[in-house]
Amino acid sequence: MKKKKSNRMPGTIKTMGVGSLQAKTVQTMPGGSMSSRGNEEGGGMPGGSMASRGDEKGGGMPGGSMTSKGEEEGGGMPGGEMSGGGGGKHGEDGGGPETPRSRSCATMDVHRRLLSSNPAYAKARAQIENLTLLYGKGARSPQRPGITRIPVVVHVVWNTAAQNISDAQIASQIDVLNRDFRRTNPDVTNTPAPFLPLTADARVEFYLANVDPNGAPSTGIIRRQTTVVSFSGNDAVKSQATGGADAWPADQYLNTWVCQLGGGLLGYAQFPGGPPATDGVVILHSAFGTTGTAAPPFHLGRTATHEIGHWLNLNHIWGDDGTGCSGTDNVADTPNQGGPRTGTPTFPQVSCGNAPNGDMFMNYMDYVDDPAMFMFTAGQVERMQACLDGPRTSIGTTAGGGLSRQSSSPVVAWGANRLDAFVLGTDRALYHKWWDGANWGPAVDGYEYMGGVCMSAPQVVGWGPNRLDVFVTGTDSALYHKWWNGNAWGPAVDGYEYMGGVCVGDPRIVSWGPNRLDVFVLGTDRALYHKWWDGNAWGPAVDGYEYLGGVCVGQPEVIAWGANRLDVFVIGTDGALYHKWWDGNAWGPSVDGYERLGGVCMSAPKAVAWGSNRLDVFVTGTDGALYHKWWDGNAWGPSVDGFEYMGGVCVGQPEVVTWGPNRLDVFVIGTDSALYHKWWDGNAWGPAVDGYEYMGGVCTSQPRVTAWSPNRLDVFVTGTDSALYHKWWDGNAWGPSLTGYEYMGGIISSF
Amino acid sequence: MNQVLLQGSWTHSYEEDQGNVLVYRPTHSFAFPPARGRETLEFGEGGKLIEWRPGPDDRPRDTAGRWTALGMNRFRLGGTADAPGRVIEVVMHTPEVLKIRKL
Repeated sequence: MKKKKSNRMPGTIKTMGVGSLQAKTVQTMPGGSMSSRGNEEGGGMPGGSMASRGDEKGGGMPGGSMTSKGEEEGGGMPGGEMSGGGGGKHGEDGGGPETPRSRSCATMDVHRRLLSSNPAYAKARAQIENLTLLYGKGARSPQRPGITRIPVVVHVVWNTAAQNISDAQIASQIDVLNRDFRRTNPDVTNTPAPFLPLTADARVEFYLANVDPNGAPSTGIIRRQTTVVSFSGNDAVKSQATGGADAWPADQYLNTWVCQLGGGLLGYAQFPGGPPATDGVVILHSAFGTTGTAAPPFHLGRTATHEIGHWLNLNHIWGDDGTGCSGTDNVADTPNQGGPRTGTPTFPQVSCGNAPNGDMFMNYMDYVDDPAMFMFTAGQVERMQACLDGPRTSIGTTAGGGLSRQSSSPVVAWGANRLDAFVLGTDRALYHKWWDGANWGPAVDGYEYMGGVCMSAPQVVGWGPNRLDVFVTGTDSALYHKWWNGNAWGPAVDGYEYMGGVCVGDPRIVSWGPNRLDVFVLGTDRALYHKWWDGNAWGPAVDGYEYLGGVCVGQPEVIAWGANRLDVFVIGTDGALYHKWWDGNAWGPSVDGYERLGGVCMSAPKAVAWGSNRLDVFVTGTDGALYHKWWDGNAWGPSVDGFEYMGGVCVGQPEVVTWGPNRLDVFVIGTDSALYHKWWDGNAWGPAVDGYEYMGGVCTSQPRVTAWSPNRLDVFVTGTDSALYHKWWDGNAWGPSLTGYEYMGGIISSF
Repeated sequence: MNQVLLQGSWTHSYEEDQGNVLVYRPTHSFAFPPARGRETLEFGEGGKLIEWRPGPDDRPRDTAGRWTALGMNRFRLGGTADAPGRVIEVVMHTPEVLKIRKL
């Protein structure tokens, strides 16, 4: 991110007010009445009258004045400029304009036969090529800024013990991919001088999936012994029924099968647009990774690099026309080449009149030995990025174990089909409920008692599968922490770790990576304070804080769009939005300085990042309308101190989530206390730039929303009976209905 | 050299190539080291020919064609709409090795 001029917020008091209680590792929170609850699971929340519940699923929210709004999608919000907005079509990209194919695609004869014998595949492939052509012509540019991180599942299908390769061998392969697809492989410098300027960073990284398709924690490695002595290129390894292992959902994971292959075959791939059940790559175990059974000359992990190139829609560099000169790899910056090159050729190797530089045989998409291939070109990267924007648009987003980089919330999803919600009861103790993929625990209207007497809405993050960190302030306004480590609550189910400070309002926490936490609070001087967990210890001390300056109104907002990156937003005493950032090395614009982003804001800011180096910030203005600004990697839009007007008259802070690249979902409460929704689908705001979808309810809390996978939303609010209510978008429809809510029990004092 | 002797399945052992002489070994009995892809020629009876080559996704893909003896150890391979013809010269042929030169 570009540096901005340093701009201090008013006020420069430097000490964090009082609160120097010494650290205690385990301490229950002060507040006396530790409301001795029966701790039995499934217990309802204390507070007496369990508000006559709205029972049946799909029931509307109690609370009388259900402003009978027109329920049609696209309804405007009351009080606002009702730009009607149409459609309200959810979750669909309006496909790009059709473009005539202007490039002949000479593929292999057999490939043509396959295409003609499978019309659906042929159609999908044609659409993919049409989309890709738009990129080549500059009519479209990659939509994913920064790095795409793709979760990988490795299916080790073994017959002899030696084929049951080690975790270390698998890890060595992931390491290779993360060098080759980032152009950080040291041997890229071996690229001959004429080709060196063409080498490019593919901006893709890979990691072993940490959540399985059911939301359970996973190593990303599946092992199965088979009676099949050796597999061929017929996809048998991809099915349990034929001695292999079934694919994980191909829209979320890169499936990699490692096995014995016959006939000297090193591996094979499936291009985008094919059947999900066979999508992925297959690699010979002795050509996988760099250790264990990996054997020269295919011992540097380049077979997987090559196959994943195909999986991202790259063609062979010689154009798949045998040894002819008429084929094309559909990439402009690679030379025309006759047939495949093998072994370790010396530069140059001329064919098809491509002297003096000859064939680009050192490209990953040729057939040379592992030590002889070390580069992708910029044109190939563009083609892979077009694939990620098009047929593989859902891969490498938050699903499949990607970590949430949203700021903390009372509701969090640490994996697919998993939800954890935290509330305060009337005794101001913490209560917890969860969705495990099948059921609500401890019961649909029950809560787990977690002790404490809390003064702030619970703030939770999950930095990994089956991991939760909960932060609240106590009656002494100090910060308190508890955590779920997968097996038990620490320091105890109803105990808390004391973290010092005297905090005003809710703390905000974000995790930019596994076992990393960054906590932000406001002190009594209303300056911003920061502390962090680095995996081993709390900095600057378990009860200490780093002073970050400013005099802030309302709550800070924090977001991490990448590892070791933080962006913090606060409202100053002049009502303007202010910003500071950690770039991995230092705070910008300075430790206690802020970048002024303009506006007169009536709500705390809400920020999300749908990709690397991308930020979207939402506030409400003095007219109650929603306003938006964004960082696109180079500049603030619409301007550094300007905002986009988004209509409505909003009560409280907006809630925004993103479930994929270039996707935003915004939820606000209207003056009728109903929930309203709008969305950015990559091309336009729905139902209209200043219009909203009416979602019913009479809400007494701000909406809390999370997205545990692409095209999935879970919304939580409290009703006039102080109970919790839930609704969800499943990719096709709102449940229990567009304007209905699921009753979740409780009498909630803070959420 | 005659048709009977050319029968069988031969796979390109490209590591043994000598200039423009391409070396093929019996597909099913020779211990080929792993490769990203190899060409295989299956000479069948009655002039039937199946060529295997790595496809765009690296899987072996087959193309059906025909082979025809031209004399002087020369043979035409393919020649169908799907497989344009090419002429090879057999320079050595034993049960263990087939060496050809593309013309």
